[in-house]
Amino acid sequence: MKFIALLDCNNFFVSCERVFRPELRGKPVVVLSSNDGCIVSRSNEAKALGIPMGAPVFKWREEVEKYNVKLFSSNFSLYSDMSKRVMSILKECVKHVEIYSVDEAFFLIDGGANFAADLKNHVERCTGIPVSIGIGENKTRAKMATEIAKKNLEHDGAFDLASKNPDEQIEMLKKFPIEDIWGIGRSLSRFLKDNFIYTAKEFTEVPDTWVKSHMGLHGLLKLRECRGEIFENAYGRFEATGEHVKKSIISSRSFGKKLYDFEEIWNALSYHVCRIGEDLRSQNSVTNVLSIYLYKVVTRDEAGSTGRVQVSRTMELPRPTSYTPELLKYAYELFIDIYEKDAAYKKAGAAVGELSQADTKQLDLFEDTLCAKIGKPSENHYLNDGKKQNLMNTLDALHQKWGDRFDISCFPRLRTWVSRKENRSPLYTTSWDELLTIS
Amino acid sequence: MENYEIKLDLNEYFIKHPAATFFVKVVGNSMEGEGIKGGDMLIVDRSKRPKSGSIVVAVVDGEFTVKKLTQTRQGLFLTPANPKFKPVKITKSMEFEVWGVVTGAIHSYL
Repeated sequence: MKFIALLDCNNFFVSCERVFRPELRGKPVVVLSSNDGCIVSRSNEAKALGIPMGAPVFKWREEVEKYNVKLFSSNFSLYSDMSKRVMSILKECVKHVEIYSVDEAFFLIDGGANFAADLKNHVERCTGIPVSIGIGENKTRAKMATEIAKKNLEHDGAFDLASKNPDEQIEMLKKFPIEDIWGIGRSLSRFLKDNFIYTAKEFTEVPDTWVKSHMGLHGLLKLRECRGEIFENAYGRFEATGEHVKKSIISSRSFGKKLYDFEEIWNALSYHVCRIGEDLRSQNSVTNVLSIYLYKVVTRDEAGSTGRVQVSRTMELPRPTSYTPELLKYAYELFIDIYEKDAAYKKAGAAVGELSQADTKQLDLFEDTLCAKIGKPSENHYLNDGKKQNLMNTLDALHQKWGDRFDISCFPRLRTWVSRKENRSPLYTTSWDELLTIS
Repeated sequence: MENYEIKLDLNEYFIKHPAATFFVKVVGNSMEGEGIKGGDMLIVDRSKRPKSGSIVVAVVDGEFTVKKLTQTRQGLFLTPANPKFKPVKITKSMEFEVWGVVTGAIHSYL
């Protein structure tokens, strides 16, 4: 019986660093975003200190200093190279690998947890990267199984949900929080919780009709997957479940009071951009158009009866994206364009439109990193060819991890405490001059 | 049937398992008896199973070292190839792992 498995690297960026710095195992380590602003990868010890994903590092400098948390700037060359290695080893062992992000891949599996455990050990032996493997009847359940494998150490990094008997499966689903279900983004999980659905188990008990009318086709397919339906097409490959996509996504909120300060308003605006990024990714979409808008307070004469006027800017993005840091970058440019120093603002929001389905491999390349090195043309970043292993977007890890609990913008100008790229590790695997040196 | 189109490739010669192969630079002369000099580059395969007599990159208490792995009746040792250095016995109190097996060493004369 063939099921779907997911291989997911544990704390991927940190793990990459630890391969060449074995003395950092068991210690709190974090990796920072490309401007050294936010934390984008944490070791388990750093997580235990309460440091959240996506946190601006300057806010945690006390803990960093007190507990000697090791900081690394992002080393995309290294992470990209290590990712290729992991995927390559995986492909040597199993057939039908579908790379999902820089540190995750789905594949078809014949064996159960024992095979998965052997595979996990083999990948770690060959690359130094610890991984978790989950097995399920479909991708959603495979992801669930991987989460369970990660969080419960007694499973030794491999968990087969599909082979458990129904009672055991129900037990696992009872403990599985609704917001951790793949494809259920922030707004959906909030909505479900408002309807007293807190766990995967509770979700599976909701009638189809209710889910379909409140969550659309996307929700219904997700429901069926959570219940354990097997998805496999005639060729023995598995495809992403067709999902109903929204055509545009808006996020906005009134401040509740007048705001004048640039940073405060950018804070609010970037929050909306981050939420949009997350919602885009949860429905596997990318956008071509970004708009931001502010409600500016004006006299009633100028604005008619409302006392406010909407100012906005819209921009067509150079390439389709759902990548939050890129959305933030453009949103920031647009914001600088409309912000007026002495004006009062009451509301901020952002919107994206012209959404299209992303391929499972989203390549969103920074010009100064991977794209330039490999000489890949920047327009062509959709690989629909599932058979070819091509350039990985190391930043997909940020897609997956950053969106979930992100609650504050990484203000680009705030670079006082940790400077840019100050702590980047050597290019151990991509530069002759920066090899690991030993005696 | 001869293939007239082959171009000899050092990668093919030295690297059997690219995904598990790393390059490492050596400092010092602790292994010069094995033909490894300071400044040489080592080809390290993480997927190869180490045996007694393998030259390995090991991590001992968090530190890297390159030595010959030897198993004797007295126990497991990391053995240098230079009389100025002493073999190190691996004890239970040490954190020890083989990071990878050295499959080749490249010395550049330039």
